[in-house]
Amino acid sequence: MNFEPTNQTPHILHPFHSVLLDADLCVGCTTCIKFCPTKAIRVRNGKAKIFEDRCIDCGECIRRCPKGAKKAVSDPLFVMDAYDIKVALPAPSLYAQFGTAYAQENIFNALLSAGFDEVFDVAWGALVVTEMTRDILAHEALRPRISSACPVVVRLIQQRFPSLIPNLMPILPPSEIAAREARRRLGASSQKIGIFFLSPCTAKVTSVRAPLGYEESAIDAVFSFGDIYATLKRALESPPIPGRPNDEDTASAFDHCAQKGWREKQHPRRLPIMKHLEPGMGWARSDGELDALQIENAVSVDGISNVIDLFEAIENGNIDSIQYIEALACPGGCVGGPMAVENPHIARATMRQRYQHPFEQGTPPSPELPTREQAHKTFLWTKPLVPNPVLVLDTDLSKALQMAEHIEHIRKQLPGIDCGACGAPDCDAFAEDIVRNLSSVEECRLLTRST
Amino acid sequence: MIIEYTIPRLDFSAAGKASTDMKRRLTQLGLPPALIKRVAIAMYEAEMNIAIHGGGGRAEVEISHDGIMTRFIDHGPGIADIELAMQEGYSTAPEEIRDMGFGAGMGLPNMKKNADELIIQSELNKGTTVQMYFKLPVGEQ
Repeated sequence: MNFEPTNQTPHILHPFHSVLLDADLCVGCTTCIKFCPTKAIRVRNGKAKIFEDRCIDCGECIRRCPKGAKKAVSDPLFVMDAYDIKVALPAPSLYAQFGTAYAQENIFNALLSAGFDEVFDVAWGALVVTEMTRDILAHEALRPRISSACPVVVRLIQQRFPSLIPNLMPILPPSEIAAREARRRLGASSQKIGIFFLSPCTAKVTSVRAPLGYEESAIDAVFSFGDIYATLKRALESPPIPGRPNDEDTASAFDHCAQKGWREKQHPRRLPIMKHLEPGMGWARSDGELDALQIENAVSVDGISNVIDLFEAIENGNIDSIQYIEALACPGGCVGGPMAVENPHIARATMRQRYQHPFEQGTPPSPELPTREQAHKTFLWTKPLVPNPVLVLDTDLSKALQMAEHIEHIRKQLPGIDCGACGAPDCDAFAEDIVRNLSSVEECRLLTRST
Repeated sequence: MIIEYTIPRLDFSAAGKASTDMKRRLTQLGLPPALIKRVAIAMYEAEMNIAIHGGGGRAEVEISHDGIMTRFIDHGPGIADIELAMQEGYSTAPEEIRDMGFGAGMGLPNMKKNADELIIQSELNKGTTVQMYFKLPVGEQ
């Protein structure tokens, strides 16, 4: 492994969540509780506390915390050492982390210099999802259908919009499809193959450990852009090795290098660099999925609060004419992910500039996409998504009604200014906490002051 | 439990607030998503009706073991011919409202479709009361 240890990302392996609090940095300021879309955070004894059953790993608290006390957790790079063949699965947004100066081939090259043996682009998985989405829209009548590519959106629907579960596309996410395909193409081997997803997304870390819609992930670990950034940047900036062919066809150039022994690798590369991935690469930013899909009456929405507003409107039944929704929790799409390095607006511009694909010339030649039958056999969800009942007060309706009435009674006595001093995001949530025995009415600073 | 809402006149940014709040409450009660969606759609239509036609008004929602009773009350112009108003596509919404994408004449038909019972009482120049009842299905999940 050529990566140097980094202190950027904490690597505390947690079974279910990839957002973590650094208690030393937290000052208990209540900023995060206000922005959490699922009201999953409370301040207790001067420190933020995440209710893990409510957290959907959106990373909003990481973005909002003024003290940097919320951290994205990803896998430590050393886990690579346990594998003979190390496969990098770059998210399309990786190509937007280094400005427009470096082409896809340069970054491909840098990944190999950094210690990966093979590279397989997640953009390929995105192309497969696009084809499958077209197919499902053509054969099923339910509208609007919602993209399931963003794991935060899937978790949000599961918890807060369970009536929209049937609207989600039952298709594996691009990273998972790419991982399975990379494994298939590499074939059976006596050597241990490790598939490593390079990701800007906290929720993907959770998805790999606790998948939704399928049993087990083909991905072995998720590395954050932050952890690999410095190494890749150095590789990109280092002068080309003398005598190395500066061929346009980098794939053959690499093979040439491998033959000449420039890279002392035990394993000859088997996955060539892929071309014509442009529509899949576009998925790095919002609108990218729709650009690839090219269908009418489709809507793209990014940023978690905008996603929530749109879903509320769908549930109210007033936007039936929409066919398809690309919903991305991060502002600007995946380039805005909590584990990205480059400014999301710059990254968006980079992607736009580099992967503007000429649709008027028709679909580019597809890089060995699976047939419809293969795709449906291999890349659909295999497990039904069930509602997450964490918001339900009690499974017994009488009890739940009683609690709801109690909450309403308490709420009416509260000041209603949602100051957050009690540690709950608003008076509604505070009243609910009291009835759930998670807080007590004395925590209300305004009530205690006036008595 | 009775929840009350006020519905301001022609305020489309506020329209849907009652329906959205009710969805949250019904989700907390663990009711089936399909039922919650029916209530949300019907309530949203009723809210829009009051905002567009009724000159503003109020809503009351009573939740009990048996079901959800919603009442939407306004003191607007009233509905001249309820039977006609129930027809899909029939609308008295003025041009500027239709230009905003509302008032397509699907309000009452949509409410009828989604509620288990719909009762409309209306008197010209006095106002309209729309009652919608939703049964709580026993054992439906």
